[in-house]
Amino acid sequence: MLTVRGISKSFGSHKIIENLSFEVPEHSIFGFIGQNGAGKTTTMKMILGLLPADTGEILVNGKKVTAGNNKTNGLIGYLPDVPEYYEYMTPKEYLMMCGRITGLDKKNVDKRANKMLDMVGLSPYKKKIRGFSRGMKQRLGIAQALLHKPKLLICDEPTSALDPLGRKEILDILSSVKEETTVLFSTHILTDVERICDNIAFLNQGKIVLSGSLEEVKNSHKTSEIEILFENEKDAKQFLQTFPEGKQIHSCLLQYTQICEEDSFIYMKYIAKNQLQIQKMEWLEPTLEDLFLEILKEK
Amino acid sequence: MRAFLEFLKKEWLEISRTGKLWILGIICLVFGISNPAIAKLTPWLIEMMSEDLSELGMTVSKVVVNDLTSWTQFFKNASMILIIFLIMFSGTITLEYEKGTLIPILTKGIHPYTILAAKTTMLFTGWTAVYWCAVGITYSYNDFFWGNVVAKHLVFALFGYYIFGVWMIAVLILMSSILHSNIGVLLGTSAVFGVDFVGRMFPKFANYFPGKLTASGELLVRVAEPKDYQKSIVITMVLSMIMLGIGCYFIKKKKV
Repeated sequence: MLTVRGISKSFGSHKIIENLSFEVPEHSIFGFIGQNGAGKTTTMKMILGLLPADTGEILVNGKKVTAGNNKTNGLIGYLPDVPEYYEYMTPKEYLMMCGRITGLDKKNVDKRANKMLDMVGLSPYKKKIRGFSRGMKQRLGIAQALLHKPKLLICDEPTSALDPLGRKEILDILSSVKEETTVLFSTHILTDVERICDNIAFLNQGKIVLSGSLEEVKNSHKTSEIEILFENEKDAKQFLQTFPEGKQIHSCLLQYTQICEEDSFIYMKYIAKNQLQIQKMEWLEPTLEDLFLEILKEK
Repeated sequence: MRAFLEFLKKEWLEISRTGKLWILGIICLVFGISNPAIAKLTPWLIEMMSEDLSELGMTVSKVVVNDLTSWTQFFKNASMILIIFLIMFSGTITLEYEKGTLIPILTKGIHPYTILAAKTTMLFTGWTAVYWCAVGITYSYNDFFWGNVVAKHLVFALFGYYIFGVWMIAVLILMSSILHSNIGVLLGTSAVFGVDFVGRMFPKFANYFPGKLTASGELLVRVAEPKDYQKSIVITMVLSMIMLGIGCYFIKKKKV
């Protein structure tokens, strides 16, 4: 759906994006992760044709993006990080205007506007946008972005400044539209990414430092740590005496690092043979946050 | 065309719902009425002051007022209408870029030219409406009190100032396409007017500058003839079009 090939962008002598390439498959949610200032918004603006790339090319559904001539934008819906509207309009008037600008006919645009307002839960609001909360503005942003049934929905940090309820609402909406469209979603809130994304890319200093499906990325950085939680302190102590290389996190919890699968079988055998009571034994999976911090540390 | 009409509709909603339409209406009424009113009140005011003036040894003869007095007042006030109009709309483009309200619209595929065309149409329409309504009000009162008979070349003189206003709006649009704040736009527009003012100080070139049209009121008292303004009118119209053309070039390059 989206192909970004070798794009670079500088503002003066400051290089923002350097030889950036990635692909977003159809009907997936792609998480574009990076710190503030990593170049996420600049990349998105280049995809939207609002900024020209210095080098490289961008294809949306096979069509080349040309800056200043936003023809490919008919295929894209965009939700800015802080969406601003004409506050003297009602949400319906705003959507009607957006729909007409994208080329929908009057009858169709009315139908779509009502449907979108229903979807984002704004249909009861007949008043002007002036009094809208941040969350309501984000929801209206999604409605305007999806109004013309775009093939690609680009959301720039849609959940950054929302309370937990507002965040949940936005993430639920994004998950629900996956069947109809492809979503490119930039953020630095990693729990949001883990919750809804299929594919991810970490952007650092204008370069992609890690990318792939969520599973792949996590597996590629799988740790060799295991945690065993015992029912009682006595069993934990007995286990630790037999395998002293472990660390006691608290009275019933032991952690073993740098071990292989063989070791885990030995542990399980010992536990079974000595009838030690455990609550759980698990391989510790890295969170995206761990990965993100690790990548930043490496750089 | 559809996108242009939709954006124009949005511009109309903006001026009608943010109070700008009311302000324009009030300006129109106040300036339209004040010209004949000042002319009508002048003899009475002078009579009131005549006693004080005679104590100072000054003799006041009878003051005759007619439509010419009122129209002369109109040309003095026209600059105020134009200045208020320019200040009111100095942020029409820059504020949209500053706030980011254009981002969702631009990402719908609308061309920046279309936005500039709609804004320009709204500004020219607004100026036309305000200016000619004020003219209409003054004309009606003048006709009622004295009849519009004394002032000569009235339509030509009024048209001259109107064209000058169109040029100033074109300068405002050009500045809005280049600069990023409405203060900058106002300063830039003033600077262009300043250059025009300095240029007119050289009598040899005075007839070639748009600012010449601000003195079109001289036609009423036959100090000048329409042919003295012809060059300036043509140059002003051509310059306005060139400025809008350059504005199109810059708006396409403007960073969102």
